[in-house]
Amino acid sequence: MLRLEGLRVRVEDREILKGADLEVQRGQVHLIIGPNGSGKSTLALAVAGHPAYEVVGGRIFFEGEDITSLPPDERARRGLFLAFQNPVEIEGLNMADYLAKLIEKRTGEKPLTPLREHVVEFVMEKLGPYLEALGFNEGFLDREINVGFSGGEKKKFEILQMFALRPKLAILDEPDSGVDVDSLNVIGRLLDRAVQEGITLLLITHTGGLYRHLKVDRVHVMYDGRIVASGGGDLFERIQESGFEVVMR
Amino acid sequence: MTLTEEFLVSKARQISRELGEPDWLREMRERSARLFFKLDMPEHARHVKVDFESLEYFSPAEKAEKLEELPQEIRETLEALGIPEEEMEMLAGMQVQVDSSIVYQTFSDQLKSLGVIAMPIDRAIREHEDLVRSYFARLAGPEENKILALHYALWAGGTFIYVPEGVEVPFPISALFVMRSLPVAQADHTIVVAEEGAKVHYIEGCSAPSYIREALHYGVTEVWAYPGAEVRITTMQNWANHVINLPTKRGVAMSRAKIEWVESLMGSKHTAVRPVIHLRGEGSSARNVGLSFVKGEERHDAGVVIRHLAPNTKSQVISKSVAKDRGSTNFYGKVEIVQGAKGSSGFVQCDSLLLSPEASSETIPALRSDEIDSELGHEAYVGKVAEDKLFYLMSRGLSEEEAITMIVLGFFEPVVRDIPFEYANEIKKLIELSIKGM
Repeated sequence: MLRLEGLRVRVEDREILKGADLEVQRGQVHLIIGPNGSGKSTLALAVAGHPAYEVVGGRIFFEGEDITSLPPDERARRGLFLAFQNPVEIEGLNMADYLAKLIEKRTGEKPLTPLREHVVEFVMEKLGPYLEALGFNEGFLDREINVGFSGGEKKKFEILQMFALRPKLAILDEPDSGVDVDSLNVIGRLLDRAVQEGITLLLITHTGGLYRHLKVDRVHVMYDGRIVASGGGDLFERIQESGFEVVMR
Repeated sequence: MTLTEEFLVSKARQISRELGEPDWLREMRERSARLFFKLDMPEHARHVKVDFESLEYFSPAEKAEKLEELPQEIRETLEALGIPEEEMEMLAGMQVQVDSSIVYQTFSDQLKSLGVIAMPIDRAIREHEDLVRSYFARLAGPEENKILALHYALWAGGTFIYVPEGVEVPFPISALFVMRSLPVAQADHTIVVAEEGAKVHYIEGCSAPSYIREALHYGVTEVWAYPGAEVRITTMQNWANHVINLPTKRGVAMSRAKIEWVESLMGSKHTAVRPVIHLRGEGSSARNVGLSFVKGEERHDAGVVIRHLAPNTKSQVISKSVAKDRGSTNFYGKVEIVQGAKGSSGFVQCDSLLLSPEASSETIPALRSDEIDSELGHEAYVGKVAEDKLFYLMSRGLSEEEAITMIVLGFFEPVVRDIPFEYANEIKKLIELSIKGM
């Protein structure tokens, strides 16, 4: 579904990805782990098409097609989703209006009128169960995008957007960092649900906190801008026990 | 055509005669016509180029009993201001002015039974001459500058609203102004008087269809808020990009009175406006909230002057502007607290967002206090759409245009919140249209 071939990415004149190779198959759950600064977030942002992340070598294939030079909105329309590690705040942009727009993008359906009550009704109709599962109430829809959100709320809102868009592949950049145990459990349950609903997951994690919540098919270790090792669950266990040095040698 | 004193004076007389005005008004028109040739442009509009000779100054339009009798293009322009026609018929207090004439009006019996006067100003002069006379030209006079002199020589149309003591008008009173003839100069004159403890919300919408070539809008609005009164004025302007917009706005608030001015300004070739509000009575307050959007070569020189003339007065100015293409939007915020106005405070906030490298924005704060026991504050921000925000939205499948529209609407939200829903929704649609094709 997603294949990276020798991906090299430069950010502000510094090469961060130095030839990363990766393949993620449809319907699977893949994990990327690696020490801080190894290039995990750069990989996520480059695959999503951030303009400041310049691809200077290699290619990105999604469903067999080369998407290396496509703009980010086109990649999203093809079914790629990125849950950000640090989502930005967008002042004044109402949650209900925004989610309704995302749903409209996917389904072509719209609220009855732009009146707030109709927009909220529309969003609740489409996403109500997910909001509830994430522990959000209707009042949440009155807020502005990520403004004043706690760390956990931000991560959960990223997950909610994933369900609004129903992508084919979701890359989640550290959905488990900076969240409390309760939120971690909620996120774990919802990601498992995403898998049930047919969304392929590529999880980037520093802590590995979500590992036990999901049936992980494959684990990749990133170090210094490259995927240096790939394997099954045993690779994750070995690294948890003995650290990244295990695969560096 | 050469604009001579003789021509202007005879034009002033002609308008006065056609409207059947009393002598004092005719005399003021004639005197103002002569003043036009002696005075300079207003200080805040010195750089605005107006081709006075090419304009048509008095263009009466056909009156209508029902909205459906109005010409199609006028009805379309009205709808573009945000109110569907069916709803317009239902509005309890409204009038429509095309060029120099009020063509349609409805003021409900309910307003009459409350003792509220809300009618075209020329009719108010016939029916309540002394009352109108005691307020007319008291806050802005013809001797001040060239534009005001021209206004008092040739003004036609506008609204007179008088709310008696203690009366709260239960719904907004609205007036819509449309320019149609080419090339036209529209000079409406509006007076709003709220007696002690009265409350009123006046909404004015101004528009000109895009086929208009040259046009000048130079209306005057005078607002009186007596002790404890609350006056709210919402102005929606959507001008075609050939309109030069030089309105004059003045307000005075007596003790504990509140004046709130909410203004949305879209389009126009050049707008220069500098509302002046005097906080004359103890405990009075003013709130001036503005939204401005420029594109192409458009330029807005907006601003506000607030003078704190009594103790414990408060003012708040919020300006939010967005400039696209080579548009230019500037804001001059002057707040003065005089000596003796103890316990007063003023705050000015100006934010602008630039959507292209050629767009420009400047904020000029002019805060001055001669009273130690007072407080003045200013915040300004000029920025562009942050790449990270844009990427965040685009990574959700929104196009660049859609993403920018969302960021811009979010930026305007603190102002749009103060605007009634139908109008706010129309403003949103206009912004979407303006951003399209970037």
